[in-house]
Order: sequence, then C-alpha cells, then structure tokens
Amino acid sequence: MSSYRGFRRLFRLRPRDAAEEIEEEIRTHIALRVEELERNGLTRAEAEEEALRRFGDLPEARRRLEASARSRDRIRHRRERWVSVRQDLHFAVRQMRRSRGFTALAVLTFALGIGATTAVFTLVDHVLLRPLPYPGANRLVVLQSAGESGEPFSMVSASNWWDWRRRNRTLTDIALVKAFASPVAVAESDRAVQVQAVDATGNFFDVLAAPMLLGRSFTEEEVQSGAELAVVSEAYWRRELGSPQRLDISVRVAQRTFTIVGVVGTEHALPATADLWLGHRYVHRTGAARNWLNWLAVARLAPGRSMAEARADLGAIAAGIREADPEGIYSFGVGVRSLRAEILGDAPELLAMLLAAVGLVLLIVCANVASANLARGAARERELAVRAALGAGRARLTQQLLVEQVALAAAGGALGLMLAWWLLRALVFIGGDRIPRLQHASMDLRVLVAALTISLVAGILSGLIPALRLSRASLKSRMGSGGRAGAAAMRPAAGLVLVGGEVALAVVLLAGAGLLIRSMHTLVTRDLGFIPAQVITVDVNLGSSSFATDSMRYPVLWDAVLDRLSGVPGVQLSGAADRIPLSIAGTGFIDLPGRVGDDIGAGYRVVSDDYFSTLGVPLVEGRMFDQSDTRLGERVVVVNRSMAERYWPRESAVGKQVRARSFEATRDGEAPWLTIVGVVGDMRHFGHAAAPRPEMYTLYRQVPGRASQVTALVRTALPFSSITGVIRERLRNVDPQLAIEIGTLEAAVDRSLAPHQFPVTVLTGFGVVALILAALGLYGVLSVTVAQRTRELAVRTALGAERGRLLRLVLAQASRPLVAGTVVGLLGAWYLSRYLENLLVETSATDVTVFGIAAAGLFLVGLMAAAVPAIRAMRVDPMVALRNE
Amino acid sequence: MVKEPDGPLPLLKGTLDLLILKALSWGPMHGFGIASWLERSSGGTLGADDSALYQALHRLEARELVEAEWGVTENNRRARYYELTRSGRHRLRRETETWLRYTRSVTRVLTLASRTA
Repeated sequence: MSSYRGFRRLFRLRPRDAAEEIEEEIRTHIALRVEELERNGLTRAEAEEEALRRFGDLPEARRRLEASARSRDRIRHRRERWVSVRQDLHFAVRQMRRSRGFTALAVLTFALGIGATTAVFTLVDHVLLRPLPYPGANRLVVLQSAGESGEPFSMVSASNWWDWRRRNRTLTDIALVKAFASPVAVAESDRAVQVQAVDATGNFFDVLAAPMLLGRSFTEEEVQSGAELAVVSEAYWRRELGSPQRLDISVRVAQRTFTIVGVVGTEHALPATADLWLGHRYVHRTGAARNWLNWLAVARLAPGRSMAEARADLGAIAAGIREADPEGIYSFGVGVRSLRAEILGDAPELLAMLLAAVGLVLLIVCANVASANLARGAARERELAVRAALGAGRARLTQQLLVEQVALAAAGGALGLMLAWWLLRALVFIGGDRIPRLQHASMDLRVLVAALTISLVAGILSGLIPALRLSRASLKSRMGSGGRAGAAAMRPAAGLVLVGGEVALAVVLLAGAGLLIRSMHTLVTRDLGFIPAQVITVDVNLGSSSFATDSMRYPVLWDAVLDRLSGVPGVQLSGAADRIPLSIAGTGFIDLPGRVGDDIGAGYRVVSDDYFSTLGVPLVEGRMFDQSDTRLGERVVVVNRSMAERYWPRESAVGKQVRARSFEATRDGEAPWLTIVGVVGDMRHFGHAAAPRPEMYTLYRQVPGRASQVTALVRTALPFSSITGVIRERLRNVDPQLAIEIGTLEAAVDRSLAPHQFPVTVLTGFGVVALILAALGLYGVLSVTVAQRTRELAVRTALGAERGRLLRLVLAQASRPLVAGTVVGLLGAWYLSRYLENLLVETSATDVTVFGIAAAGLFLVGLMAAAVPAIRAMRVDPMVALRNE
Repeated sequence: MVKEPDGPLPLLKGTLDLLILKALSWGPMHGFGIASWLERSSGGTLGADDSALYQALHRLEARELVEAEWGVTENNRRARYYELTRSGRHRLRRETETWLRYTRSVTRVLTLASRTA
C-alpha cells in the first residue's frame, strides 16, 4: 500500500501548496473540536472561543506548522530522489548486461578519456596546486639582481647578499645556495666519483625549515667558525653510502674533508639535482666581487610583511650599495619572487596547455558515447514509452538515462584509473626534465576523488543530449511502428552534428601537434656549429689527486690526459676544454682598447690546441692554437664569429687586442692584454634552442690558474662500450684519485632536446587518439544511418541506380559533418594556436602548411571511415532488403 | 513545598512521537482524533499543545514512520488521515520496550524506602 502511494507521489504532476494543506488541516481540527465542545454542552460561540484558545496562538502556529511541513517535504523529496536513483542504477546495470557490445564500447571509450584526464590532472595537481613541501612555504621568496636595464634575474652575488641581510627589515633571514650544481670529485677508498655538489651558507636549511630525513642540518655558527660540514641527498645516501642509520661519515671533496651531518629528503632538495650541500664559510668582499652572480638567494618574509614591502625595503638598500660601491652594477633594485614561481618556471603554461588538450580529448570521448547512444535509441524507445505511459515525466526519464550514462562512465572511470596510473608513469618519465617537481607525482585520494568527479561530468555530458532527445521522443511516440519513423528521423541529424564536433576538436589537436612537430624539426635541424657524432666526453675532476695541490700543475694534467687519450687505439682526434658545449658556462666582462670599463662581455673558455678540430668547428680566419703558442710566450686568444662581428664589425678581428677583465684580473693587477690570432665558427654552446653567443678561447698552457677543470673530447669511430674501459684504465695510470665520468656528446645533445620533446610527444599522442576516436565516431553514426536507409537504398537499386551513385550518396552524407567540422576546427585552431607561441621555435602559430596537412589528414581518414559503411550500402541486395521490411 | 502545576503534564518531544505512534496502532486517524484519544486515554493527565502535535506528525512523516492522505470524516469533512507504516510499527514496538524497561528501573530505584530527606 505505502509503496504504491510513494510511487504515485514520485510521478505527481503538481504538489499542493504546503500552506493550503496546513490551513485546511487546522480548520478541520478546530471544527471538530467545536463539535466536541458543543456535544459537551457549550454554546456555539463559547465552543469556538474555547477551541481557538486550545489550539494556541493561530498565526504563530500556522507559521511554525508551515515551516515544519516544508522541512518534512524537503526531507521526503530528498529520500525519494535517492530511492529513484537507486532504482535507476539497478536498472542501468541490468541494461548494461543486456547489451554487452555497447557497454564494452562505451566503457572502453570512457576509460580512455577519463584515464588520460585523470593522469594529466594528477600532474597539474601535484606540480601546480600543492604548495612546496616546506613549512610556511608561501612565505619563501627568491631575491633577484637587477641591472640598469631593469629586468630582474635570479642570480645574485654573495657581496650584495651580505648587505641585504644585515640591513633589511622585512625578512626573517636570507640564505644562499649555488644556483647550479657542479660536479666535484668525492674520494672513496680506492677511487673517486663525481657528485653534483653545491655550496650553501650555514643558514640555508634553517631558512627553508626543511626537515631532515636523518641527522640534522649544519648551522651558521658552526660553518662560520670553520667547521667543514655537509648534508647529502636521499639519493646519494642510498646509492653511495648504502643507507646507514648512523652518520659519522666524512667525505673528501677536492682537498678538504667534510663531515656529513644530515640527509635531506628528495622532495626537499633545493636545487633538485644536488647530491651534496657543502657549508660555505662566507668572507665579505666588495668591489668587483659584487658582480659575481653565481648564487640563488632564498629568503623568508617576516610575519605580516608582503613581497611589495620587501621589494621597497631592499630597493633602498640596493641604492645604498650602488652609492657606496659603484663597481657593483647589478644593484639597481632587488627583485622579489615567490620561491614557488621560481622553481616552477614556465611549467604552469605548459601544464595548462596539456590540461586543455586532454579536455578536448575528453569532450571527443563524450561526443562519441553520446552519438553511440543516439544510434541505438530505437531499441530503448519502446521501453521508455511504457514508462512514460505509466506517468513518468520528462524529468524522470531524463534522470534514468543520465544515471545509466553515469554508471557507464563510472565503470569506465574505474578501468581508466589503471590507464591513468600507467600513463602517469609514462608522463613522468618523459617529462621529468621539463617540468619541475614532477618526480613525486603519484596517485592518492585526491586523484581518486578527481577521477570520480571527471567520471560524473563525463557521464552527464555524454548523456545529456541523448537523454533529452530520447525522453522527448518517447513521450511523443505511440507504441507502434508508425511512431518509430518520426522519432528516427530526428536522430541522424544529432549524431552527425556530434561527429562534426568531434572532427573539429580533432583538427584543433592535430593542428597543435603539427605546429609543435614542425617547430621541433626546425630546432633539431639547426646547425650546432660542431659535430657531436662519434665524440666521447671524458670529464676529469682533480679531486684529491696529486694535481690538485698546485695550480701550476694543472697544465701538466691536461698534457698527461691528452697524451694518454691520443694514444688509445681508435682515437682519431683529441682535445679538451674547461667547459665543453652543453655544459654550464659563464660569461664575463671584457675590455677593448678604447672601451675599458664599458659593460661588454663574452663567454670565456680554456681550450687545448686541437679542441676545435676535434669538434669539427671550422676556422674562419687566421689560425688556431699550435705548438708555437708556449706557456711564457705572447698571450694569444681565439674568438668566435659572433664575437668578431659584434666588436669588430667591419674589419678583421685578427691582430686586435682584448682582455678578460672578469676572468683574468688578479687582486694585485689588471688582466693582461691578449692578441687575437684566429676566428672560428660559432658553436651553439647551450644547445639547439639558444642562439650562439660571443665567446673567446684561451690556451690552457697560458692560463694555468684557470685550468683546474678539464673535459677531454675524443673523436673515434669505435663504439662507445668498447673504448670506455681502456680510457679509464689509461687515466687511472695518470693518477687513481682522478674522478672520471665518460659519456658521449650525442647523449648530451639528446638530453638538451628532451625538454622540448615532451610537449610534442604528448600533444601528438592526444592528436592521434582524437583522430582515431573521431574516425570511429563517424563510422558508427554512418553505419546506423546506412542501416536505416536500407529500404530507401534498396528501392533505388531496384529502380536501376548505379552502385557508384549509392556510394556517392552515402559519402555525401558523411562529408557534411567532415567538411563542417574541419572548417570549424581550422577556425578554432587559428584562434587557439596563439597559446602555443611560447613553445614554438621559428614557426608561426598560424603556419598554413601545418593546418592544411592536419585538415587534409583528418578529412582523408574520415572518408576512409565513411567508406566502410558506404561500401556496405552499395552491396545491398534489394530483394533481401525489401523482404525484410 | 513546591506547588504542583494544574492541568496536564508537559510532554517531552520524543514521548509525544511515541504516543502518536501508539495512537495510530489501531488504525488511521486524523489529527484531532489523535489529540482527543490522547486526552481520553490518559484521563486528562497528558495533553499536547495542538500545534506541537502537528509538528510531531510532520516529523514522523519526514522519517517515513507515518503516512498521510486526505480522506473524509463521517460528517463529510475533508481531513488528513495518518497511518502507521511498517517501519513505524517496528519503531513503536522497539521504543515501547525501551521505555518500559527504562521506567521500570527508574521506578524501582525511586520507590526504595529511603531515609526521610
């Protein structure tokens, strides 16, 4: 009995107003009370008075009862809603079991879209949405230098830091760490290994408030008093030390012995690539030292202070520095930037682009499932018509269909989680170099909630149009074949529109991918200025070897290394430099006669005689170094073409003079004047993406003090694996305490390209998926329309129409969404491609060729997808078809 | 000595709900019927503010312990009739048991002969 009433209430068309009902109920109550009182002997008037009194204050009671009635209705309505959804869910599962084919298709399609979206969302959440893992991380900032031109940049000098630290009033503390990790030799028992190390001021870990995994961090007092303390990374602790629980370990770095006091967890490591933090004892210097910008300054804002206040405060201090020390030219203000923004760089834009791209894929997925739904609408119609006859309103029918879609989407989402997990690992693998903080992205509760939400959205999106259409159709149709034709005529149009939309989205993705591919191609085919193929790099670190004691010995090392290497069988050429291409290298100020003190600069390298020939760098003018350039002879230098053209624009640079003020000035005297003996071709030192810069090259023999670092280059036709052992052996004979790292120059080039590869790979992947989905969608919809037109096509054939004509007929129907979708897609791509501009190298964001190929490709694939049902249409046997009707 | 108030004892909210369920256990009744049954059965000691009664009925409806439908009285008046649902019946049985157990224990303690206060 009660369930019937509930059932009826569910389908009620118009609920009576609660106030009306209350009013009537009160009136009846009072009337009955009056009757009873009259029966007990009161007069009418007395009874009425008494009855009203007994009821209580009427307006107040009415108000309260209306409120409680409304609350009652709300609660009941909510419960009924929930019951109806549960019913629908039950029914949905039964439906899914009945039409397995459709269910499988829908679930797989959903899994694809939801899985991909979840994976990208996890990345975005982890990299962008979570704060840095330090306590109070939103108070951590990075301080920047500003030159006269005004643009601040994130490298600072320790001398400036000293003054900022002492005189500021808006920061609790400022610490320094080397901006880039450099390889140092760490001596182990019988050999030395290269480790990425940074110097850091004693207060560094305190400013970050980074928790230590083990042990503790060094303190400022200890470091400034001379203690040589170090902190290691988690990776180093595991890899090299074997994860000991006790830290009474010391490491020998170069000539010094450091005691390890703590281990810092991987997620707290700053910079992320460092393995070793060495406590740096700072000694204040002024003058030119203010321009040595090799530090990163990390600071914590004082409570209640903003970045703007800090900027103003430090700006005043910078002005004071400029006045007191005019040699410091990077003190035209101090930039303040959040540490988070500094670490993330351009990752936000890139991830936003990825999220948008995967969002498009999800839309295509929803459109696909929606059009599949519309296609099988006929089967559902009868059943829905029965429900409608029983009193189900449009809202109720729509709810049922939506619940089915959400159930499918949820199932797809569960499957998609597996895909997401795998996809996430793939993305982390290829994107690790490109996007900071990526390494720790993993799936957790937030991700599950995200996946659920995405499934819900996907289900509703894909279900909305079919649900609305089908519910309307069911209400209109009568139960009989006559009604069917009318409803069926509606569906193909909707399905084709959806497919057209898919085509448009796919074009956008393909166009974007095409632009990135073209840009990548441009990048990769750029001339590097040197030939990386078949060159092996041998990084030699002095460590605690016998060469480390005396700077006069450095050239001896170079000689020994080059001598040994050239003797290795299979080696064609060998050369060396302190900084080979694709390694971190600095620039410094130079002076020209007549332009002393101008702020002009160039890169500075120390090289061996055969360096250029080993790398395949051509000689443009003059000569390269040779034996005639002795240690005590005339100081010579070679410059590259960029430098020659910049500073000696219309004349030959050979014979001119230059001196390296920053690199070769000593405390006592000026840098010596160097004579240019040759001009070589430009090298892109920083890889494909950066333009060549002016560079000057000095000979190692002539600058022993600057030759402490050496990377040898060996050109050989032999395969890498066969020669490494020999090289190591030979160099061990020079001194076993030398730390050797062997690699190939080609590998270094590839590594430098990897960050550019990431967006290309991902977007191309999405584009291909979009293409396949759109093709499948088109195929699906056309199959249905062809099936529905069987009778018409059969009649045409019987009347003598050519097969070819039928084919063209079907293809014409297919071409409408294809053409419309392609045009809309091209317009969309035209408009949206501006967001890719930052990633494009020498490629216009509206490159017509790329757009044309994307459109043509999609069009072709679409035609092929349409061809299959079209050919089927051609084969229709009129007799069979007409008989079946 | 505290003066005892005249008139019916005030009812706690939960108790009123229980009494209403009991009232309906014989069959559907309209609001006024419940009110007068309550007065009769308790001999006048228990009475409810009429609006409180209807609020309680709304509460019971919300929890689906009773159901309501419009019907007609003997005198052809339109009245809203309330009826116990199955879960309402279960609730009545359970709550009655609990109440009786509770009050029996409390009564037993309170009626122990004690030293005069």
